[in-house]
Formats: sequence, C-alpha cells, structure tokens
Amino acid sequence: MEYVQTQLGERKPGIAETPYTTNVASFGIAVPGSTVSYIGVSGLNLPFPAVSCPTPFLQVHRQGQVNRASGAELAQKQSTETISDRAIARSALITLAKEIVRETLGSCLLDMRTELKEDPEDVGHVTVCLVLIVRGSVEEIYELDRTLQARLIDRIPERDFPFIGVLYHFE
Amino acid sequence: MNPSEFLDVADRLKSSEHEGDRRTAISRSYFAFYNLCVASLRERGVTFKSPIKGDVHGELLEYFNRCERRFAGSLRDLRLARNNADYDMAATVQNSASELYHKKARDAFNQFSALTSQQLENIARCITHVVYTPRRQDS
Repeated sequence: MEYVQTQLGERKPGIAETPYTTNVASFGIAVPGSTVSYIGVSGLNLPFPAVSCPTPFLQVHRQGQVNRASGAELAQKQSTETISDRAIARSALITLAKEIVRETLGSCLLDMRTELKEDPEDVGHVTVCLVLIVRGSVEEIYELDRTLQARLIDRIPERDFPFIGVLYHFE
Repeated sequence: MNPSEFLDVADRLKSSEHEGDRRTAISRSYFAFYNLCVASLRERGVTFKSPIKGDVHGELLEYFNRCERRFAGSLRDLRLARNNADYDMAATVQNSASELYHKKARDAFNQFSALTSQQLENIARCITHVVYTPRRQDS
C-alpha cells in the first residue's frame, strides 16, 4: 500500500485527482500546536486525516465555516449525506477513539499513532489502526485492553466499529 | 483438528528468543479463535457467503459486530496483530506482544467455548437475519 501525505492546504504529486480527494482537500482539520496531514490510499482514493497529537478539540474548516467541537460531539453529528461529510465524521470518530484510548491507558500509554491498514488477504478492507506504544506488564496491558474494548463497544457506532482497531507495541 | 491445538502451539512459541516463533504464536492465536468461531457457526447452519475465501474474515467480523460485539473487537484486533506478524517484516514483534495476543486469543476462545448451546443458537439465528455485503471504508 502506498501512502501519500501532504501538509494542510498543500497537494503533492501522487494524490489522485478524484472528486473524493478534491472534496476532502477542500477542508482542513487544524489541531492547535500540531502538524496535521492527510493520508490518501492509492487505488482507493480514500483520504483519512491523520491527527498526530493529543487534542481535546477539532477545528473543522469547510466551505468558509468554522466549527469547534469535541470528538464526541462531532461523532454524534455523523452524517452520511456526502462523502466529505462521512470523512469528517470518521475523523471525529478517530479522535473519539483516541480520547477513549488515552483515558483508559493513562500513563501506560507512551505514544500513539494512526495508520491505515489494508488487509493483505482481503483487498479493499481497510482498518484505521491506532498503534499504541505502551509500558507495563502483559497482565496490566491485558486488563487495560479489556476495559478499552468495553468502552469502544459502548461509544463507537456499530457501522464504524469493525474499522477502528488497536495494535500494541511494548516499549 | 480441534483449533485449540493452535493455542497450544502459540503457548510453546510465544516467549521464544526467535522472532519468527513469536510471530507464528500471534498468527496461530488468531487462527485458533477464528477457526473455532467459523466451525461452531457452520455447525449451527450459518453459511458464509463471501465469494472470496479471504473475505470470510471480514464477513465473520461483520456478523459478530451485528450480533455479539464483544467478539467483534477481539477478532478485529487479533486480525490486525496477525497481519502485522505475518506480513510486516519491518516491524519488531517482542515477547510481550506475542504473550499479550496469545492471552487475548485464549480469553476470547474460552469465552466463545463457554457459550451455551442456546446462546450459540441465538447468535446463529441473529446472523441469518444479517444481509451481508462486503463493506469498504469508502462505502
């Protein structure tokens, strides 16, 4: 899988010029104090905003409007009317999932990054993977993961639940 | 073969000094749980409809997501770990990770095995009402 990353407002060669990508490129997600990038998946033309730092807020700039809301609030407003609406809702869900991870793992979580994982044996099945760098014993992380799974079940909508997963790496 | 044998293999390899063994432990852990679920559901009349064999993994995930979500989370994350172990040669798989995923798979395996016949029937009945169409992120 090829990833193409671009800074906010920029385009680099390699991003497919499709209405899908153009739609998403037309809005930006700005996280205070952080670098924000979009990831496009070659062949799928599926851009996902990758938010790479802890943040309680998202600012979504779209068609001249500025909304400010928590990930949970944005997730509740999930809309399926247009592709760009879905992309916004998914970015909010990723933020929500990251909030849940942080509040569950606490100081055991050293770092977290977002990756798109396409199933090598099920082409086209893409999962947003939260890669968690953790510190702790296997037993500790196992118990925290049980809590995390229960919270994700409670708070991530059914239609998105299969597509947001976590992968652990120990320090 | 009882899929629990895969868990035994994983148990022997999970703390090995060789990374290939640890990766295999994660892979076997996933397939122990996956095969248990598929076989048990087939025994109760569930038919997997995916035309592509690999897609059964996604189909099972969707069924659990609709009918018994606690297993959906386990299946999804074990699958991610298995794909990472079997395909991502750039990654490093430590003892702790293989031990964690073996434990996670064993826990899911035991929970699924502990379902009563009636609970399994209920899941199978629920699945028959799910209209499965392969879903993609862009749908």
